Amino acid sequence: MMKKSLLWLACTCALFASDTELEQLKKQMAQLQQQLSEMQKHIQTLESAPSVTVSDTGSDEEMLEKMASKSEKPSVTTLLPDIALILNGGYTSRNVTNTQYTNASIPGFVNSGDMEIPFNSKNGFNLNYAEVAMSSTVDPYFDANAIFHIHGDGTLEVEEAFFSTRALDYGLRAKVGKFKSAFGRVNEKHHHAWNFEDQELVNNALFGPDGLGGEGAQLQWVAPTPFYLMAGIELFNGNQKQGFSGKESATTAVSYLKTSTDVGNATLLGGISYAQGNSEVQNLNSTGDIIPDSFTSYGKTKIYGADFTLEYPLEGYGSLIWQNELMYRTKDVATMTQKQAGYYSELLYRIDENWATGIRYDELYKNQNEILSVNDLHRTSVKLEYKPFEFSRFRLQYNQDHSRYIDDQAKTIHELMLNYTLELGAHGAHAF
Amino acid sequence: MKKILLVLLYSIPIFASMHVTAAYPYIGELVKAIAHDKAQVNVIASASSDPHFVVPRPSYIGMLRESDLLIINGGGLEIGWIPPLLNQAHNPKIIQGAAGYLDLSSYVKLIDKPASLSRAQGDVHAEGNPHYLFDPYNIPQLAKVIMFKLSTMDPAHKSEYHANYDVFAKHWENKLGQWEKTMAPCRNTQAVQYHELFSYFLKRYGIRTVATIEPLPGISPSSKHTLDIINQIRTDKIGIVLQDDYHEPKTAQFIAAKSGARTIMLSHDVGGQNDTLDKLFDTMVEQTCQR
Ligand SMILES: [Zn+2]
Repeated sequence: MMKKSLLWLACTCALFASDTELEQLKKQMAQLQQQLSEMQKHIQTLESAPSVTVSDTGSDEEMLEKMASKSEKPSVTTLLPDIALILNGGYTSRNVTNTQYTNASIPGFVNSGDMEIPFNSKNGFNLNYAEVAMSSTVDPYFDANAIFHIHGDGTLEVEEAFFSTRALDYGLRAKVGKFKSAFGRVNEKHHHAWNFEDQELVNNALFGPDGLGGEGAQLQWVAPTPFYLMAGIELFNGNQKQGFSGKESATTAVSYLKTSTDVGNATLLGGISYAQGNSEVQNLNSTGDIIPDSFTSYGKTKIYGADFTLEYPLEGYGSLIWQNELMYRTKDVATMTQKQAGYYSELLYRIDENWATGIRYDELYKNQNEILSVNDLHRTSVKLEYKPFEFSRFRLQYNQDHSRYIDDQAKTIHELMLNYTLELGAHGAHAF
Repeated sequence: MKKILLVLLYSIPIFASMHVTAAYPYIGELVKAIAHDKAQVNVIASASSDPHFVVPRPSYIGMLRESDLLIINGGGLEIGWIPPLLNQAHNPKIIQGAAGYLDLSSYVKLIDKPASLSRAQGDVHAEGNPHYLFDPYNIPQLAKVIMFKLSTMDPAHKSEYHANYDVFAKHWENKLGQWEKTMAPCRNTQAVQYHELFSYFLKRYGIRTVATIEPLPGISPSSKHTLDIINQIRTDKIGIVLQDDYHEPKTAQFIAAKSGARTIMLSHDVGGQNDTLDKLFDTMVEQTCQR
C-alpha cells in the first residue's frame, strides 16, 4: 500500500522535474525502496518470531506454564470419545454354491452345519460389516473401548467392549470386559487389520471365526528390560465354539510370553502361548457311538502356540514381512484324546505406499480324532492390494482351498474375492 | 531363568539419571544440548523415514517402559504411531497428561491451521502445520522449554541445565545471524515443495510456496497436477523444487528437467550426513539459496 502511493508520488513529481532532478529523484527512490524492504524484513522477523516473551522470574515450573501458547482453548467436543466407522465388503466368486459352502466341514475340527462364516459367505456381493469403534480415556485411571459390527443382514454384534487401567505401576496393565485374547500373533487383530481377507486356517479350525476370547479379564506385564519382553495371563468364560466347554463354571485360562529385538534394520518378534480349559466328554450309546449334545464329565483342552515374525523395512514405504505361527491342541473327548495341529506361513511384500502383495500357506498337519482322520488339509492364498490413500484399501485375493469337505467328500474350492475397506473418522492407529 | 534375573538386575539403574525418550532425532539433539550427560536419551524415529508414518517396533515399547520423560513434536504428527506404543508400554509416568509427557507443539505457534476439516482435502494436519522445527527461530524456544522441564523434574542439576541452555542459545543466535545473511538475496522468491514440510523455513526467509507436488496431503502425484506445476514454474519463473528424502524423487526430477527449476534434496531431521542441528540448517540454507 505504502509502496504504491510512494511510487505514484514519484511519478507525478517526475512530470515536473528536469533531467538532473530526475536522476536525483531516482537515486532517492532507490534508497527509499531499500529502506522499505529492510523494514519489511524486520516486520516479517518480528511477526514470525516466537510470540512468547517471558520475564525471567518464577520457578521453572511456572516458567514452563507461562511459555505455553495460550491461543487455543480445548473445545468441549474433545471430551467426546474418538469414533471411527469402518466399512468392509466386496464381491466373491466360488466354484461351489452358497449352500454347499455354508454346510461344508473341516473334518475333525468343524462339523457340517456348524461352520460360521461371518465374512464373504455368499457368491456375489457381500456387505461384511459396518464397524463402529469408540474409544476414550475415562478418567486418570481408566481407558475404555467398544467395537460393534453391524452386519449386512442387520444383526449387531459386540466385537469387544472393555476398560483398561492407565496408572498401574511396575509395568502392569489390567483389562476387564469382552475382548479378544492376545494368544499368538493374529488372534487379537480385527478383521480389517488381517493380512488376508480370511482368517488363518489353524485359527479358524481351533477357535472359530471370532477367535479366542470373550467375557473375561487380563493382566499384562511389560518387563523392565532393554529389549521388549511382555507376559500376560487371561481368564475367560469357556466357549464351545472355541473348542472348550461352555457349561457353567468352565473357565479358560490363557498365558503367553512375547519378546522382540532389532537386528540391524530388521525386527524379530516371537512368542509362546498356552491356553487351557475344560472339554466336554460326551455320553456313548449302547453301540459305542457318541450321543450328540450329551455330557457326562469335563476333560481337558490344552492349546500350545508358538509364533515368529521377521520384519524388514525397505526403501521408502516398502517392507518385507515373514510371519509364522504354529498351534498344537490336545482335547479329551468321549473315546480318546484328540491330537491336532496346524500352522501357517505368510510372506508379505509392501511395494510402496499404494501397492502390496502377499502369499500364504495354511496347513492342518496333524489330525487324530474320533470322527475321520484326514491329514492333508491345506490352503494356498495370494493377494494384491491397492491403497489409493491411507484410509481406503482394495484387495484382490485368490484361494485354492483343500481344507473343506462337502457331503463328506474332499472338494477343492477355488475362490476369488475383491474387497474394499474404508476407514472414516478418528485416526486408526495400528499396533505392529 | 538365571539369565532373565541377570537381565532384570542389569536394567536397574545404579546411577539415578533421567531416562528421556525423544520422538524425533532433532528433539534428542536438543535434550543432549541441555542435559549433556545428565540424562540418558533414546530416540524413536530416524531421519530416513517419513515422520508421519513411523513404523512402530516392539523395541520402542521397551524404551518407553523405562522412560521418565517422553518428548514429542505434537501437532498430530505422531498420531498414527505414538498412541499404540504408549498403550502397550504400561508406563503411567509418561502417558498424556502426566508430568513426564511433554508436547513441544504447545509452546510454538502453528501456521496454516485449516479453516474447515474434511478428508476430501487429503490427510490434512488438523491442528495446523506440525513441521515447525524448520523455523530456526523456534529452536531456542524449544531448547528453553526442555531446559525448564528437565530442571523441574531433576532440580539437582538445575544450574547445569540453565548454563548449558545459555551456551546453546548464544551459539544459535550466531548461527541465526549467518543464515539471515546467506538467505537475504532469496527473499521474495518462490518455491515448489513435495509436501508442506519446509513451510516454516521458507516463510521465515520470505520464500513463498506456490505449489506442492502431492496434489493433496498424503496423495501421490498425478500426471495432470505435475504438468500444471511445470507450466506454473515456467510462467512464474520459480527457481527451486524442494524434495524430502522419503518420497520418491522421480516426479521432482521430472519437473526440474522439464521446467528448468533446480531440485533440492533436503533432510527432514538430524541424521546421516547432517548429524547435528547446525549441519541440518547449514545444508538447508546453502542448498536453498545459491547465488
Ligand atoms: Zn506433514
